[in-house]
Amino acid sequence: MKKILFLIALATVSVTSLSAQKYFTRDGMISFSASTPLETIEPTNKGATAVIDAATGVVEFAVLIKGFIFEKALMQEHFNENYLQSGKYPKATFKGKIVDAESIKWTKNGTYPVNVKGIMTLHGVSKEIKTTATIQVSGGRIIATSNFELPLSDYEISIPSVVADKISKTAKVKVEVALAELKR
Amino acid sequence: MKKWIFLILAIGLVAGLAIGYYMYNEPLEGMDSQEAEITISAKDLYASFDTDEANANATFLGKVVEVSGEIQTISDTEEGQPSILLDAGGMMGGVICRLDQGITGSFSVGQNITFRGECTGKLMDVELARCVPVE
Repeated sequence: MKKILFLIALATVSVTSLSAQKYFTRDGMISFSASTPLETIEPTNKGATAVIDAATGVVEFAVLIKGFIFEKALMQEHFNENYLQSGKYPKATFKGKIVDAESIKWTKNGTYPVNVKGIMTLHGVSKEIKTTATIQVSGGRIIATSNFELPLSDYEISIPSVVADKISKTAKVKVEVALAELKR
Repeated sequence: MKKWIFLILAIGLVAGLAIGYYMYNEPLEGMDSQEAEITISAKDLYASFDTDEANANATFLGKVVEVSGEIQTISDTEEGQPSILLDAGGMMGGVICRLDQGITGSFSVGQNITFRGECTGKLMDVELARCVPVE
């Protein structure tokens, strides 16, 4: 009986210590630009969820497509209904790993350039991507930033020829998330 | 006579172009001037997504929803608007209302409140974008 209690206690302790090494936010900012000289297209989404596991370097991001706010109503409508089909595919996710996570000292203030690799799922299509990112440790918080490009054709997003000149064939994505330690 | 027809056509053309240009550049309509399509409590809205997300997406996605509940947390993002989490009775998540640009007001944890916004789906929480408080 005592043994069982001890095991339960041990399990609880190890779970707690593991979860203490996770960082989380539900207010991450993800924006992209598909601008051309003819048109400015720069929507922003301030509701991205992000989790970084410091122990393993595993990162997970998720964002709702309808949460991208455009300046023009018509643009937002076309983006959702025609290009991204957000009714059918409401989310975009990224699940991957910080390849060189061991170089980061999570408890010490500093800025660490890292490499990230993982699977991006967008518009129902999953593809492996690699990018560079910056992890900034500042007073117990983590600020993670990254810039990368997504060719629309990789994700089977087709733009009608009438507006083809106005929309870039590659979206320049910008990720900027501030994460706090996940407390249970 | 010909002159008149030409003039009318020209005016029509200019008006058409002006309307087209206006519609093309029209900004997003604020929630202030929109009617709610669905009125629901934060608990019921979260429960709908928690039990059957696909079905809830079909019902709520892209709809103007008025949701009422008790404020659980207020997160102030560095640039921009606060996000207000309404308690839905669940352990894992609630209903998060992201305030629209320019919307201000005083909000406090524990306060009962109603927001109107566009339901964008569920990640951890059910999300409402471009929210305005409803009196």
